[in-house]
Amino acid sequence: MHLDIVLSLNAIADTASSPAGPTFLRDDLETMTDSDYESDPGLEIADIHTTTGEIDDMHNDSDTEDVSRPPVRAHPSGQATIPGASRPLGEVAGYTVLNKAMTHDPCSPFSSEDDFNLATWFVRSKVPKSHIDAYFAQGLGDTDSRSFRSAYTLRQHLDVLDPFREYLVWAEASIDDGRHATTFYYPNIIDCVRYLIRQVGYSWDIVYAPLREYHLRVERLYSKMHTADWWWDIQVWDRS
Amino acid sequence: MGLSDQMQLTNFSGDKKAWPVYMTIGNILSRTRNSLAKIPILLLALIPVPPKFTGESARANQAPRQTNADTLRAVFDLVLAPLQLVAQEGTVMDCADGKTRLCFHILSAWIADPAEHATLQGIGSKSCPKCEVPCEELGRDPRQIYETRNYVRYREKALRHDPAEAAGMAEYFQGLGVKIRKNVFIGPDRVNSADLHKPDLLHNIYLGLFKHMMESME
Repeated sequence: MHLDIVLSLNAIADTASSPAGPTFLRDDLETMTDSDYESDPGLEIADIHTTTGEIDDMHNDSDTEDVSRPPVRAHPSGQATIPGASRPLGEVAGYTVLNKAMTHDPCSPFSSEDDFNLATWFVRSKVPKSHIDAYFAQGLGDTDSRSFRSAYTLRQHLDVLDPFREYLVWAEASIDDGRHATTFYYPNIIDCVRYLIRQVGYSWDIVYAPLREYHLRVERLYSKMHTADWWWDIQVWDRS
Repeated sequence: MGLSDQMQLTNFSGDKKAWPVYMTIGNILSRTRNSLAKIPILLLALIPVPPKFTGESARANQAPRQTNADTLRAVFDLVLAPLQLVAQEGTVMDCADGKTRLCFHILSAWIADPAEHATLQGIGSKSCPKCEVPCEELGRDPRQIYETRNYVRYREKALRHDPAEAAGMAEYFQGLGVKIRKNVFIGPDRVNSADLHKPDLLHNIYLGLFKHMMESME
């Protein structure tokens, strides 16, 4: 059996060489009074932050539920978080400048709402580049006032909207199993995570820590991945 | 989170298939994660599709099957290798709210249909990826609890067995519905391969109920 992998690009970046962060702590971080659960601002955050001992006690509470009871449809009246989880380490360099255009001018980088709508229609209708060029060449668009006049300049504007696209560089690998040599392409999975987790467009729908929600502060509620057990258990994982 | 599925592209032009693998992150709430317009799911790789078997018998196909399985594992090892570096120590990342945080990237779920799970986890087509229930006892007694699969133990047992006991070992794994050396999720640290399968409404509830109802009506 012969398997040989040849990487022609530096695909697997040493992500561990990124700026070193603090050691992951579980017990001695300060208790946070707020939560990253921003998707439902109406939730009342209760004062039942857990300690490590309480985490263990509540670990299997879902197993003791009375299955004959009808499901509870209620907003959570209580939440528990892991102290210190999701604690920010610092500010993203250039974050304000990067998002200034987006927050001050919703049409940026296009010069007008009309331009933005036309570009949106081109993209969503999957109009080919040749047809976009023909559209402007035939004078159908008001080219004097447009911030883009061809498929190429439209692509340049769209690239501005996606400033983190450099994370999604594809590496090439060749696999030889002794019978066939196959080439395949893939991006670095950590860079894909970097790309997703810093998308400002997701900022209201991103959570950074697990959460336990309760009805009447007693019954456990499960609604999202971060309110279930897996994330909680892996978060408090003891590295020793 | 990973997602994958093989798809048939052509039937009469060489039986072409595509095998895309996607990824996303659990930090994104499901209402955004499930929105195609917001593109929260990224293409991670197009797995090389092996050629069709040409052997005349199952025994003749055994070697190319193992070669294909080894190739598949090599591809997944390569794609998932960066997770190994950060699963223990984490890495600092820029987040959408303008803060930097120490992040640990751990494979938590693999969204796929049962046939895809059987291929990637190296189990039989009628075997459960989560527990060791024999296929003939599936759907019999819902109160019966079976032992959770431990794929790492399977691998260690397969590696350390005495060659003289090869026949007994093959029978042992066959009883468990496991194919030796074919699980692609053994490598990444802090990943429980049995935990990657997440039941979904379509494949595990609706189709199961439909089949059960049809059998009841017959």
